[in-house]
Amino acid sequence: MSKTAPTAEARVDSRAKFTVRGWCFLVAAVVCLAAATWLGRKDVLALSLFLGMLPLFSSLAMWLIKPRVLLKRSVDPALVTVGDAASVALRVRRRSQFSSRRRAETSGSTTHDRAAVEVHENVDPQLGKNQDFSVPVSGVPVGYTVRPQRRGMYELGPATVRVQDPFGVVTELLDVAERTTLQVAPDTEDLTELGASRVRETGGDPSRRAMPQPGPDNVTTREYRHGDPMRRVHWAASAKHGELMVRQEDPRSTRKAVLVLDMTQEHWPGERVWAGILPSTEEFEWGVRATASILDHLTRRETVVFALDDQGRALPHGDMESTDQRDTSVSDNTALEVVHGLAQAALVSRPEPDAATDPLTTRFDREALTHPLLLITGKLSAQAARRYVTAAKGNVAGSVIMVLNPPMTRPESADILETSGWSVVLVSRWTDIDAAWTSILDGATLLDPPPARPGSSS
Amino acid sequence: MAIIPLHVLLLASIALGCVGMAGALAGFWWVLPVAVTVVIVLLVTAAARWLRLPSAVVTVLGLAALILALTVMHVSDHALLGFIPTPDTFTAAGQLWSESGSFVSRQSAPYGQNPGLALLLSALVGLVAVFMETALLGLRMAGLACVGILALLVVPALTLPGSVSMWGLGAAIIAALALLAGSRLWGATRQQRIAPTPGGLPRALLVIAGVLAVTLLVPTVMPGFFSGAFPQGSSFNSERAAGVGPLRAVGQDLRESERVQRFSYTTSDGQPKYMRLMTLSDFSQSEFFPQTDNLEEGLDGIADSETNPVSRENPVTSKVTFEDYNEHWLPAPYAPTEFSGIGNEGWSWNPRDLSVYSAASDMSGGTFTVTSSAPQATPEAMRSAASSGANDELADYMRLPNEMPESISSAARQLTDGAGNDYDRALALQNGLRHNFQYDVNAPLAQGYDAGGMDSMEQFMETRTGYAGHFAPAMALMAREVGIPARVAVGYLPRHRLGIRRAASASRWAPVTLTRGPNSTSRASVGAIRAHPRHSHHPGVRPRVRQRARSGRLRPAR
Repeated sequence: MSKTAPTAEARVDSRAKFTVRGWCFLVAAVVCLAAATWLGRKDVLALSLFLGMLPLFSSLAMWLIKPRVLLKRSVDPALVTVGDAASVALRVRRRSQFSSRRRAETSGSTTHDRAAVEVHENVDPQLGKNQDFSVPVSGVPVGYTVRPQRRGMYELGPATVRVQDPFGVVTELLDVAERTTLQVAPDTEDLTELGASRVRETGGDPSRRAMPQPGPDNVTTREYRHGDPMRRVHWAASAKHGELMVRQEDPRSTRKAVLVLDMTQEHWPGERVWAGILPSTEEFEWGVRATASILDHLTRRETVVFALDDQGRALPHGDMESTDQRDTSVSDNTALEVVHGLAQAALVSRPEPDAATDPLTTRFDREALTHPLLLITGKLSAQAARRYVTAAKGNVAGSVIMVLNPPMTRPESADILETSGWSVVLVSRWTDIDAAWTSILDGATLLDPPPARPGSSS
Repeated sequence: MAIIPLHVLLLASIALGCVGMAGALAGFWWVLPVAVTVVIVLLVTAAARWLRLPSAVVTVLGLAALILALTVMHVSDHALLGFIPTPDTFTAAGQLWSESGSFVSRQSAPYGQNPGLALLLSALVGLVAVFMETALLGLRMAGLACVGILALLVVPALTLPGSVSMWGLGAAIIAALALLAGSRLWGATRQQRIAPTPGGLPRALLVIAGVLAVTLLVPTVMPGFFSGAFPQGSSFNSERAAGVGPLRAVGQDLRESERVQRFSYTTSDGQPKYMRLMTLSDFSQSEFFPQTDNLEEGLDGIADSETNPVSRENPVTSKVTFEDYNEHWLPAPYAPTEFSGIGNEGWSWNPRDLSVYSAASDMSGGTFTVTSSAPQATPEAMRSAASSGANDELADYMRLPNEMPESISSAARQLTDGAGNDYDRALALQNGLRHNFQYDVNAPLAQGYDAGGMDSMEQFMETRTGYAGHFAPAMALMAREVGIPARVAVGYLPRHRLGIRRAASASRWAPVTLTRGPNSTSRASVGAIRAHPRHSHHPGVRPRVRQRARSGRLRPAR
């Protein structure tokens, strides 16, 4: 099911119209005018003029003197994880010459200031239903909660403010085009411990083979985070701080890996789905979730992950826009930021790069990223597969998780990659991420069908 | 919903609505009873609303409070313990009601003090208060509450020829707008949680100014809207509204396209007569009305030559049969000396001008006979008569009102420049009006100076266009200015064909009095201009100098 993308700046008609009372007045004015003509009286004429002029002058006044209203929307927090709630607050302030900031901050309305405006808030259907509020002008916020079910970037609003004239005969809709962004980061899943290094290595790899032993020297600790393995708990430090403390990574004992999330639209065929305002597919969403989970899992286990997209750019940290960051490495300090940054991941349409100018190759060469590579992509074409093979020539090992969309046929690219020595895991969007993770080393075909119950996806 | 501010708002709107109603009432005698009634009603309803009683109960309590207030203030003698209504109370109230009805039909608007009218007004305004309170706080429909203000304006609309005054209209508009805005401000609206939007005050002021300007100014400049099915100055149960004076009534009759037969008469000498109804001598009011106090009861005094000292030479008998007749005054040729066929009950007459008045007005179908005797005087006699301007007994007919426009006095002096005696002066005034002025019965109404009172005279002198209702007082005032006692007579013109007197031939003319000397036994008075021809196909003034003489001394009226 496709739907048109929500435009970034939805404009709303700003027009005045008469209320029921206004129309009644106008009709009564016409009737009275007819009566005045028939009866031959100037007092009835005066009555009809009063009835008719009131709505007309009111609409003239509405047109000449715009209501001084400023609508401010804020989201707290501005970035949430899927399934968590975010509070949206609407505040209205008079747009007056003198700063009314002080007045806006006071909570509670005084008896003088019982003015309010009617606000119709447009809410993205993925976040909830459209809401109608009466927001007091004193600055007291009126809020609602959204609980996004899908990662992405959402634009809250726009809102339309309905104002009425003092006599209740004309109403006008003013649009408040200001929109507020809510970023929703993907939810990470717990992945199975693979014990000793599960990323395939061949000889010559400087990475260690055996599990690292905790070293007593120069250990920095940090607070325990949910998901950290218990063997990394530093008990002495925990006793001193009174809460669980975990050893930070020892750079000497870290392994390294490269994680590439393909964000080229042509590599992800499938039905268009919208992650808020970002173009995506269901398969890509699976891929983003998998990327987030793998990133989180590896960085907790003394692995530095070099996270890139298929153009060699670093995945964005936090809510910064994806920049051409020098440092693509992600350690456990920065893992959370990168997971949050995945809220912005979107499919971009671009052509296949030439082998000569492939930015991915350039990046690999420049930073000597020869570590084991994990690629997460969709149904690749043969040409794309060959490109990756070329780009990853320097890597000691290559694995790919290919998320296929229906029809679930084994693509040619899978064969190409396998013959080049990659391990290929074919999954569908309903496949358990953990199952795919455990199959990385050996490769597998885990094309789970959609579950019997409609509408659910893993 | 804020109850106290809304009730204060109701009180203020009713007060503003009463400004318009005040135009139909003379003086402030009505303010206290009406105010007390309204305050009591609103206090009771406010308390009931504050106690959160159901809306229907509040309305019933308001009506009960109204009845209580009316009882205490107007008929407390007939109530138990002074405030509990009993059946006796209602009969007493009914009597007051009918008394007010007769008062209203006898008097002309603006109405003076009358206990029955006070009860009526208090009841009306009290009912309006209950209605508006129910509409505003019970039904939460402010637009409906504004209809209550309209009800208050109906009183001047149906009684005054000018309907609601500017002040009344402006006050009513402000009251209606206050109701509409205040209901939204204090929560008496059907939609939930609607409050005025910020920045409403400048917009409200703009709307108020605009609506007031258009509603008050446009009707005065817009042409038309003065004749139709029920024009201003009409009334439901009588021919005209109570505030319409005789001169204005002439205009209404002349503009009437339908011809109604009022009465028919035959005379013993076969000549048609001027059938005079009443005279106007007090020009100090804004609307000229005949004098209805200090009248002699019964008609015997007319036949008595002691009390009615006019000469009885050459009597003529006229027999009058009413067809569709609704005036208070009897039509009779001047000067009547005897009436028969109508008895004595309910009639009174004015010794000063021999007009006959009845409080009851419906004489349709009746018939009577009047013997009259016309004064005889020749122009030579008129010329040599001494001026009677200094005569104390005719002082009433010399009085000039303060509001008389300068143009009348200067025109009078200009026209009579060079005339040597009162008769020639009167003739000069008459010719001046005849030659220099135009006749038009519609233009004055359309341009806003319809005849009826002093207000129309200034514009009449300026535009030099008018009809009988303008010419006659102009003549009378100019005559008084140059020292001739004068008054305006109102009646029906003679027609060539005897018998039928149509409404369209109403006209007014101004008899001018000349006397022959302070102690002379005969006085001559000159009837002057007939300012209006029989019907509009003959425009222009047809003057006629008519002479009357009155013998005997004029006795001061008792």
